[in-house]
Amino acid sequence: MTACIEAQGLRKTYGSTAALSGVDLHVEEGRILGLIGPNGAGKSTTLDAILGLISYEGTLQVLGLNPWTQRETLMQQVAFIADVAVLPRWLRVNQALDYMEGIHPRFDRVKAEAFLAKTSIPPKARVKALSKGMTAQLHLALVMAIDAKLLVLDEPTLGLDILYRRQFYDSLLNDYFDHRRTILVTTHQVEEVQHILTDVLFIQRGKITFSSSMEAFETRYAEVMVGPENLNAARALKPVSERQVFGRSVLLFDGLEPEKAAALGEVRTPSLADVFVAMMTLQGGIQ
Amino acid sequence: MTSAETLAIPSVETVKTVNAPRPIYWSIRRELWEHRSILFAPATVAAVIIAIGIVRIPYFTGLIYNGELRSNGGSNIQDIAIGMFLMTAGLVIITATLTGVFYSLDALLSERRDRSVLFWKSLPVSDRTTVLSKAIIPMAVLPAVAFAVTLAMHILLALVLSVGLLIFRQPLSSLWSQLPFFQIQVFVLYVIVTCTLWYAPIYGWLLLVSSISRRAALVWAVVPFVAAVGLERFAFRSEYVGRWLVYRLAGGVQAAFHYATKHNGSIGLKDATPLFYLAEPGLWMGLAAFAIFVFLCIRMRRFQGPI
Repeated sequence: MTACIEAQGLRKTYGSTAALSGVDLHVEEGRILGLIGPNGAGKSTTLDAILGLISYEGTLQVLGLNPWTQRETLMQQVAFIADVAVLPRWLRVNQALDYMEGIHPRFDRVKAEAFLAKTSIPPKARVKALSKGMTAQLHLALVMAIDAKLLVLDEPTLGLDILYRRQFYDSLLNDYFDHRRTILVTTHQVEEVQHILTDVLFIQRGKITFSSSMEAFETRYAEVMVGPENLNAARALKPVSERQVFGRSVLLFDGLEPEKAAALGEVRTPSLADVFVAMMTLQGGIQ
Repeated sequence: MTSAETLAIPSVETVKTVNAPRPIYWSIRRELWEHRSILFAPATVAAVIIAIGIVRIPYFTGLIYNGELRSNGGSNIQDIAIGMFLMTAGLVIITATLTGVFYSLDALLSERRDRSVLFWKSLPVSDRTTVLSKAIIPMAVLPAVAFAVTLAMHILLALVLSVGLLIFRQPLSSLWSQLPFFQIQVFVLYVIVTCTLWYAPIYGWLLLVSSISRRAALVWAVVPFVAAVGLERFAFRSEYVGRWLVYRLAGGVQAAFHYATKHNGSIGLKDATPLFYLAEPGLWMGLAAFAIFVFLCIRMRRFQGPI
């Protein structure tokens, strides 16, 4: 498989603060990768570098191109949705379609119109007359009609209600993703993307601190609710974290054999959010 | 099914309807969508002028007719008619110029202010295409709009005056025999072209300020010059900067025309001095400055993000 994104020692400093301090990335084609990290960890900076919006040190290739020097060539193959507010408020829906059709060699207007027909967006409305949810639908319709190899989503559902958020990811999976495309997504709503991801990365203080495929993730971690009688035995197995729920201890284990875990108490597969919180707390990552 | 046919089927999927992209054209269309004043401001001024012309029709036709009586078809009525047409053209051109000034100050600032730059930069349109399409607006689109609007306005005004003369049973010849309509249009075009080229560095400077400043672009565009004039006067008691500014603002008209104050009659094509204008070093230095400003804008847009 060819690498879609390949980064080595990616660095970016703003003044004296380092936003990225040596990020290494290797994303293969056809993956849905979640980039998860606390505020200010460098998620958006990483995406900005991948999209050619900022300069950087280190090497970075996206679809074999240098994003900083070859942005407009790269953008024929890459689509991007930032949070909902970036469509200009004066733009009309039909103008957006005209413009995309006029400048983008891989934009399929029929596709975008078919998607819009399923929404209640009036074809001549200005963006400022649309609700936040509708604006996100419009942006998604524009982006899904681009035959892109890489789709980058930066907090795409920020500020949307649960109905729109659910619909957003459903549309993405059902109508867009086809295993030849790659999707890179950052979000705080970890629970909502967990089931669509194939890979996950944690980023912390400008560095990738954890990287795993979701299959490996699910077999690797176990959360065990341990009764007081087994607590010392459980602690001896070096849990990643320990927290109290209703007076009982919940211990998170990394790579513990299933039999051993079952002997200690009730076992369940932790969510991405559980592991994320545990790791960030462990490494003092909440800034 | 032959093997050729089986091979042909999957290829249907890969053949995409590839649009031939025209990024410059659509980027200019985009500017017109966003800044509707580019078309509306000059057109509104022209509409108001025509409305005034219609309402005050007895006055204007009387002016022409009385002029003819007094001068017996001499140059007086010609001056009145030409003066009327040139003044209305001037109002449209000034409106278009001011629209261009405010457009340029906003062109590279508003997309950063409303964060839409993130959307525009996510599309395969280069910074060069974007900045050039924005520079084309004051340098070519607005002048073309100004000329087209003036021409349409003059045709309508001539019609209104003709109808007025008919209503008041005056001979149409009192207007048409005296009105060098075609020359007036050539003259208007000459004024628009010479002024636009002369003011190019001003538009370039305003675009550059809009690509750098985060707010109050007008202040940043004007303050350095006001400060320089004031400082010079205070520190050196000289006014080179002030004189240079006046030259930059008025030098184009001075070079494009030689208007002898003692000869009477209105200014016209006969006073045009295109060779003097073209030989004026200030014109070429200004155009060079414009090119440098536009180049810097392209660099700035690459580095600037939303504010």
